[in-house]
Amino acid sequence: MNIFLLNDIIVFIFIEVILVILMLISEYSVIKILKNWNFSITTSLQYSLEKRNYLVNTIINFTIICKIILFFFFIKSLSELSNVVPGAMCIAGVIGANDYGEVLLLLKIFIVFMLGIWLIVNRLDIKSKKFIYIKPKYFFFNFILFLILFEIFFEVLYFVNVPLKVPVFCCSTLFKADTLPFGLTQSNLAITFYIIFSFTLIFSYLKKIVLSFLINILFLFISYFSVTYFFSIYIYILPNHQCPFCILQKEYFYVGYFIWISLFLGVFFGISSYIIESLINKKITNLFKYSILFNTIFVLICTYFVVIYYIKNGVFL
Amino acid sequence: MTKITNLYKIYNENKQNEFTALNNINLEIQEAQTIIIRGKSGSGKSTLLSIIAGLCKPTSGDIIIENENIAKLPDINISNFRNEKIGFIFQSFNLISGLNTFENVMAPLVLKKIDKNQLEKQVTQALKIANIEHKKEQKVENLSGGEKQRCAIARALVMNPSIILADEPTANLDKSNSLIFIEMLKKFKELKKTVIVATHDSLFDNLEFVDRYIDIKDAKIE
Amino acid sequence: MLSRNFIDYSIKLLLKDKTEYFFSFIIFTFIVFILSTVLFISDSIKYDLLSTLGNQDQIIVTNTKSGKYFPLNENHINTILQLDGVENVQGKVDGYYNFSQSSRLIHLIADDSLSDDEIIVSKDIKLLFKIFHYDKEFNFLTLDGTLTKKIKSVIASNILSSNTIFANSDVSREILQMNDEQYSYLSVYVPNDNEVEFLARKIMDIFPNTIAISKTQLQSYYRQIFYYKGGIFMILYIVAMLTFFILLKNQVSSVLTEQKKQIAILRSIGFSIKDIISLKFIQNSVIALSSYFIGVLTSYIFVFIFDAPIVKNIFLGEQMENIIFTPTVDFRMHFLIFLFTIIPFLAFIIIPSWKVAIEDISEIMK
Repeated sequence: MNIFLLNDIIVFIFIEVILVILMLISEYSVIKILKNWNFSITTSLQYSLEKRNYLVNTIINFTIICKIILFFFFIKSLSELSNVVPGAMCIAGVIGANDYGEVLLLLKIFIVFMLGIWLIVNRLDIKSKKFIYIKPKYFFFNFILFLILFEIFFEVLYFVNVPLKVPVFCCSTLFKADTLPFGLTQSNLAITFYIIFSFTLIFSYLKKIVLSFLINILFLFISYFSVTYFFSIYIYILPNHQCPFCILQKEYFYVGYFIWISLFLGVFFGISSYIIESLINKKITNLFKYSILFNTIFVLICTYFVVIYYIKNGVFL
Repeated sequence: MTKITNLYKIYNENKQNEFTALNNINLEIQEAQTIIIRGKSGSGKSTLLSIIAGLCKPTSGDIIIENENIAKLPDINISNFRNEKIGFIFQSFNLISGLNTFENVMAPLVLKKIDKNQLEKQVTQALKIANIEHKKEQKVENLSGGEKQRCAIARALVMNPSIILADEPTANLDKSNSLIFIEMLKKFKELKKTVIVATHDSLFDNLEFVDRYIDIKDAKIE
Repeated sequence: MLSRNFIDYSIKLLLKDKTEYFFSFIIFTFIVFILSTVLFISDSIKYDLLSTLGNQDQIIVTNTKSGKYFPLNENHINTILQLDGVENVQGKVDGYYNFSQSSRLIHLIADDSLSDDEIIVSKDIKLLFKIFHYDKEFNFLTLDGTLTKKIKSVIASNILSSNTIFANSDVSREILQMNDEQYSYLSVYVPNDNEVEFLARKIMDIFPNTIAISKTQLQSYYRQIFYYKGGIFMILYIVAMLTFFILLKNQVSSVLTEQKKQIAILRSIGFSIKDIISLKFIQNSVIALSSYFIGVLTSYIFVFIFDAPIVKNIFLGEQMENIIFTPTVDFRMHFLIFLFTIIPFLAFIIIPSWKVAIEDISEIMK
């Protein structure tokens, strides 16, 4: 019996396919635009290209909304799968069920980030009244399309290889206590986390583009480890339950979503200025305030659980 | 201030049925002037009007209105220009049937972020000026010819545009309504609007409040 | 651009042209209705299946001999009771009676609330008996002679209790030719969830011919079978839906061409291409959402109030003529239907909306 026969997965793949078809349709227009675009001339070809530009914009706006919805739906489907896949107690087991799972998850997050950047570049392009960024914008689109095709290929591979008869590992095996990176202890990890966070605040406040980019990437990594190995135990109130995914479940009031979403938004706004500058050579500095906002929300939520535990119990785990 | 330089409009270029609607038009129109463009049907006056309104793009040439060259603007900007700066009165009125007068007049306003009271105020004011407020709940398909035109006028005025364009406004009206329209032109002048009317109706000849008459023949200004 | 006024105006324009959109609305509602009906039915069945796994049945033990079913006895029960962590073991009598006149195997379940001469039957069995002129009583034919029992009552059956007769344990044993010490299966109650898998394996170690399944495994197994059937249906459904979408396409195109003039008027007063596309999107979302709610509502009434005539037979086969469905509403499933129908619909109207938005507006001058 095949995993594909789960209702959720069928719907999911069906919609992914629709989105890919839409993107391929717009690709046809994109290629025409990249070949023939010349804003200063007034031929009817140019006017029709301008009209096609609107089609591509509409399709991408629609796609990004759907991709975000689908991403949450993906997580939810994995939760449902954890009921059917033997041995999995939460989605950590399902993701870890084969090699494609983690790559797929990271790829999905990366694609959403890239689409977000595309939206920002598009807005700047339209504001310019002369579509001055149109060519780099569409080269970037081709890159995203390529990623999306890759994504669907990986999705199929992943789902086909989810074992239904053989038990998979659960988070307690996957996230064992003794495997912290760089040989850090728990307390050192927490300290490093807060230090890096302060640097992100400083660089964002000073609107340093390159430094913000670097520090936010670093912050993303450190946050992943900190949430998994340090903060999550305060949410589960169990010193050995170290899992980044269980916090997405109902029992913990879905707090995982708030944590991960605020982190992603904060990092996204922190790194987008650098990526936009490399794409179209324009310095944008008004996004940093969102980075500060979301990173702070993220850190506050995480710290809240630690503080509450300390207040209730007088000690740390 | 409207300045048109070297304007050409050629339909079906390089094809068998190539047709030049406008041939090297050069024109300058000052603010708050009332201009009548005269010419036979097919002489190009409607095309000229639609290009000034941004309804179609020229084949070549520049059209600078209030320091903006609208020939080169992308769709979003030119639509915004049309919405805010131009009030167009069509020959066949072009009202949306199935809606009443009020709803037709408010159409340009829904694109702007204003609250409901402000919207009502602006629409009511436009209806008053056009003298059609008493018919605001009436469905437009049930209005008489003259009333339809007043509804079209109200819609053209609702955004308080600086330029009013009218294409053959009296072609579908009887004489008394045509005279009412001419009175309305005087009102536009009071409101300091730039008015350009394209017509071949002799009723518009020799009017003293008109600042300038422009004659078009065979795609050229005489 | 997406101000309240704009949205209201789009809806105003939609409502004035109600009749034009009517056909699209009906087709879409029908699509949602079918999908929703199928999902309601399968969910209801799934719910019944899963809910019969009672609280006390942590482990179900069955026995085999030469690979075939064989009863368990007191020895099994006593040994299992000795195991650490087992709180209670109940022996159950359960089997199939061969009703040879109709060549049918009827499920026999023990219910000790009944006295020695009463049985309870499910509705479909009652109808079956009536055909053979068994009205108030039924004769079981066994090797020891005929047993006559009174039919005490009839129950409306859901999928699990259809094709069933309930009798008390002694009577059931007689009918199934089991002696007093034999049991069809054992239900083992293990209060600590963590020990369930371990104990199941231990039981199988002690009695190598037995199969001990834990409740979670059984649930998982039911879910799989379920999803299997559900999945096949979904695929057929996609094919049907694509056909409907083609029908829809023609409808959408014809509506949009009729509206060209209206769109041109809006463009002439300052609506940009983007605004027209937004307008069309808002209108179609309203149609899609209202279709969705009406489709789901009608399907709910059809399945849970009228018990889905005709469709039920396609899904379940003739023997299930008289079952009722337990109303279950699974929001996750509905969100799935929502995604499955509305997203393709909206994706579908993007291109036609764009095509009509970019039309040349100089038509309007005529």
